[in-house]
Amino acid sequence: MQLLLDPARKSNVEDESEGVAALQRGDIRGLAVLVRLHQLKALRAAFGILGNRFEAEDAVADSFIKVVEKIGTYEQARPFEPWFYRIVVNTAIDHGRMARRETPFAEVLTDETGTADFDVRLQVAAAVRALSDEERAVVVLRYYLDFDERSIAKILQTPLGTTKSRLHRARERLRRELSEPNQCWALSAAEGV
Amino acid sequence: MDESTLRTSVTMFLDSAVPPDADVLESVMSRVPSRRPQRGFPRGAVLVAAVAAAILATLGTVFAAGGNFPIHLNLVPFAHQEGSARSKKPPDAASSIPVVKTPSVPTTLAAAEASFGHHVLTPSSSTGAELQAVYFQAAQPVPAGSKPGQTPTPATVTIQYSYAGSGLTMWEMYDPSSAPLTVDAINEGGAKSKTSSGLGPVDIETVRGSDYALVRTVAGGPVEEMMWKTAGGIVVTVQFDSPLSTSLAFAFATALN
Repeated sequence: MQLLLDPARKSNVEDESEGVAALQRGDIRGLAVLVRLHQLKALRAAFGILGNRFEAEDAVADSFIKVVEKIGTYEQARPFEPWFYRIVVNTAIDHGRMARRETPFAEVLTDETGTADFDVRLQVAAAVRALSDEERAVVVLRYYLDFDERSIAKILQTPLGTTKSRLHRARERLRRELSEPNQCWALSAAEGV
Repeated sequence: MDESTLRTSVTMFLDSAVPPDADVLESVMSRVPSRRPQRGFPRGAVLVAAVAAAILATLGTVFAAGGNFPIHLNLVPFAHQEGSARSKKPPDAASSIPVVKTPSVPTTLAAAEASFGHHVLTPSSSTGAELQAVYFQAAQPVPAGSKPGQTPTPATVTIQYSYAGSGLTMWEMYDPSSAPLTVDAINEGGAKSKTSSGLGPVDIETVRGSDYALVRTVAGGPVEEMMWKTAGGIVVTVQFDSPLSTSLAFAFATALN
């Protein structure tokens, strides 16, 4: 049975679809396909919520285990990503509730100085750290994973109004933190300075 | 700062925070086989002990006349220890449980049945139960140096279903003996077994002439676990993720064929 897929031959979507189908048949190799396809984005999303690489990896690994457990409830006709990131984001939020983190994003804040984008990362880390886990979740969903507000509400299982106000509050706090005088890092970074 | 700049900033930040070579594949794959079958095993194991007991038992030949095999409750003394009921362990007599220690292999129903060598019981569609996962565990010999009385672990098919708004795990093993099913229970003011909330009463109930052992959370309360031995020698243990009413529990158990 040929289930391990050749990425050079097929698009990611086809691989994803075949990975899901394999997993639904009970073939665990389908999981490996899904992990390879989605782990990096999931790790970055989870890091955006948890602020810690180790915890993000743990949350993402847990998320893939939940994918195995819930794959029978997934309908192939629907897009996989919203279903998957619902698991990832909610798992990360749960991990955040359970863990008493000392300093979220500490590893960014204590990273080596002197790199071109260090100031950028420092500023964003400080700004994101000031948000609650739930606010970080909406920021990650909106600005990193590119979901609209209605989808975010479904993913987080919160009313649309709550989602909108949470996103508005998070956005305003980020803007305020990042728009302090002499912090034109975003423009500088975007220009490669 | 406009939306586009905010998006760029967040994306740049997260992309740089986790390097492209980050990899959780090994971590994920190592968790898959070890986590799934463990669900509920500590409690289920008390009942599953009966499989070994039944296989070893030489209590005489009992034929299941069309229905399930009869069930005997084997009351084991309760070793009094301090602490909550959950922390108390049954005595050594119950520790010869054939707990599946090595990971089961995720598989399909057809493959599990082929490996098992016997018909795997599945619920009729009328129950609304939906298959979630299937695992097969080959028979395990008694490890060298085991305590006397330790029994081999029979081949086991583990199936998970969603059912009645929750989930359940079902273990199927084959007992070739013609002995009745012996269920070990803790003797603590009656037959008891460990449940998610402490010790729960174990009853034997007969439905349509067939015996079923039931573990309830409280006397007369919802059912957390069921066990029986079919006329074909399949020992079935069903553990409900959330305790169910007696009628729902039997609706599932009696719809297996």
